[in-house]
Amino acid sequence: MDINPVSKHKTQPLPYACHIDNKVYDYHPFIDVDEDELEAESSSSTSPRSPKRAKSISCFSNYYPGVNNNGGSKSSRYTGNNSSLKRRLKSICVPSTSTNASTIQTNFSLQEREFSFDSHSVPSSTNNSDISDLESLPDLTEDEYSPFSTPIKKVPLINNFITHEDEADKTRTNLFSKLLLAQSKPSIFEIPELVYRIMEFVDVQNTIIPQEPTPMRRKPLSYNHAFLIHGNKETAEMSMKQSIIMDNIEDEHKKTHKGTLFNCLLVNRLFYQVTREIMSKKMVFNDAKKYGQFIQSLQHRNFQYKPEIFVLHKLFHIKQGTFDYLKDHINFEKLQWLEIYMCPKVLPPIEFFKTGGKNLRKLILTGSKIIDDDFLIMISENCPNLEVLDIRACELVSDIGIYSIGNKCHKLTNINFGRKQKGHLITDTSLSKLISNNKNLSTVGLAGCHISDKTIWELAIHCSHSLERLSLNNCPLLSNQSIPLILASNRNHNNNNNPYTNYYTHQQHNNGLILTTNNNVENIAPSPPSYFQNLSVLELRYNYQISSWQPIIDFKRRQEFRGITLLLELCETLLLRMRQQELEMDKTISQRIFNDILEWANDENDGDSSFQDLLRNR
Amino acid sequence: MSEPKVIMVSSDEERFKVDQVVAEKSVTIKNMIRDLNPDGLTEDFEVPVSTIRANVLSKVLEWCEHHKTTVFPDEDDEDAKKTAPIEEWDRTFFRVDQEMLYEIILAANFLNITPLRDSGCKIVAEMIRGKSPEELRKVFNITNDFTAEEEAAIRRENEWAEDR
Repeated sequence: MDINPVSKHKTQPLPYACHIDNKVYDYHPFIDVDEDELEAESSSSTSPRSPKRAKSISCFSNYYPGVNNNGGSKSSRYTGNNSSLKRRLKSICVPSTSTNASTIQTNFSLQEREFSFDSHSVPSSTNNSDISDLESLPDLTEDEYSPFSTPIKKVPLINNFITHEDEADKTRTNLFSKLLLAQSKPSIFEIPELVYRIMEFVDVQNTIIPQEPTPMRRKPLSYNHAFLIHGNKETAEMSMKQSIIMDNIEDEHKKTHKGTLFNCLLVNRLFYQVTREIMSKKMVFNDAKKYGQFIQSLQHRNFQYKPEIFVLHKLFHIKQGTFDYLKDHINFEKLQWLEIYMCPKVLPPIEFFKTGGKNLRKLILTGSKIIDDDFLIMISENCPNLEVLDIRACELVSDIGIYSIGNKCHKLTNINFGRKQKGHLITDTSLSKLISNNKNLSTVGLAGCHISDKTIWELAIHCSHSLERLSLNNCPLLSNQSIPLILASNRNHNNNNNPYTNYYTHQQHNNGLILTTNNNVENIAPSPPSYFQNLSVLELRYNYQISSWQPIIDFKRRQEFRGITLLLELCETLLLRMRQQELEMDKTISQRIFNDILEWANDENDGDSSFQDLLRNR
Repeated sequence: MSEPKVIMVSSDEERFKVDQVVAEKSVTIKNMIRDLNPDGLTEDFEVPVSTIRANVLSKVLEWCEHHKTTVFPDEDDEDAKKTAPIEEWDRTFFRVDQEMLYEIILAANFLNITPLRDSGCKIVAEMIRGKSPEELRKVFNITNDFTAEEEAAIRRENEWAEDR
């Protein structure tokens, strides 16, 4: 197969694409080419190329930088008779195909025929088809003989060819690549939608919204407690310091580069516009100084921010007054996530919610000393689509506010009303309303609230499938009538394929009747409700009224069997209590197993000869 | 009778014959086929894609072929698309020089192959990370069209965002 571009494309004069060649040298002038590969490639590379290619300057300039081994431009150095040129071309075009670049080289080489070259050209050798020959060519980083270069450029380039100065080449290359820029077809950095997309990813990769770390476990209450949980000295000590969890988070912070988006602002106008828009979607402050600078910058600026996320994280001292600026300069129409975490003295103005309440999904107002029932009533009226509501340690809030939320908001999935003081303000009254209206709750935090067993039963009935995390630390009214009873009621009809459960059930109802009935029921009717199938975190610290742990242990084991590791958070006393019952339970079970084996082994009617017989016969 | 194929013709008139599923990774081509053949394809369908060079097109088709059965996150689920990490195969796929990377992104944009475009953009986004404005301009060949005063003003006004 022979490439013969000359005859095929002769009628297609190329436009003068000026300094195309120069850009090439941004890239490695040589690549190692495997001979075998070349052979294979050359046979497939002979299809005629479109003359269309040549018509477009933009295609050319765009094309060129991709070429690693610029065989084409080198070829232009050669003169000589037509046949040797052709052979030369062949040898040159071959490696270029390996970089998928045959097209242009062909076109280029065809061009060169229409120009005559001067005596600087490398003398044509008779045998040029050898690859090694190609590789031994001088590393020309500038193509002084290209028809596209101007005579003015030629002089220094030739000098360069002779002296072979790499340094000089590089500077020139940069210079030319800048010149080129103006003429090449739009780069992806000139297409706003692509820049926008890229910046969105930059944002996702680099922006961290300060979050309270979600600990794998809560911090143990004392050394003894830690020892009980972890079982050995080292991990107990570690967990007391809580360094395990914190370490990981630190690492993650280091990985991201601060200021990446800021740097993008300064690149050029398009980058500035795009980056500013993306930055304005997430307004996150965890530094009072930066927040102050931001407020100041608002005064002389015509750009209106439209944040989707607005987070103030631990700005303990900021004042309500700063929100007045925000009101005037920030458009909260698109706000989805408002978080004012541990900023006790500020209350987001009503205007925030009047304009953007419908979009608001996530409202986190942890630790506010100002938020009260009136505020929650206002929220409930303006934000029907709320999904996450975290008002931990907002101690002014009472049943009145929560009832109102429960009445108007029907899409809640995460709620946290945990508190250390004034727990008596939140009771069953408001929560049963909220739970019956929100059947997809997955995270429920009611630590310290004076809820009774009724609320837990409501949860079991309405949110049994969705519930994943349940925190009931320090709820003084809870008793054996809720969690243990609910979990125990699972046991009788849950997961009949689990031999352990079967065994357990069997043991509980010593007659074995239940077991058989159950199996039948399972086959005919849909399985009866089993509560909290997806529960993975259960916190029950300080609930001293709970004394029956057997169902909870049993539940934990069954969850494990289904692949869910249930994390139980208990205080020292309760943990000890549970361990004791667990031990007893295991004892009973192993004793039962042992008895069964004995019974089976010594049964006289099981068809085999008894052990005594066996001995006698020997 | 074998199934009708789609033939894509690159700007340099190289012809790529691919399965319909593979070609329809491109929403542009998918719509084109639907619009012109409301009753489904009966014979080979030829599409000229005159803005894409053969070697870029072959890369793009290599991607389509590999991902012909991949289920991508829902079109509307922006968050899932943004946070999804770059697949290991895609990362290897994009081990090409910068210009090729840009051309693949352009081609994916033109052919409307969102997951490919996004993967490429994510790669570029990673390249942006941790670079100064000057470095960015140099690496990506971008001209600075700010005056010195403008640049200073932007720096001043956005001081609060230095860490972003």
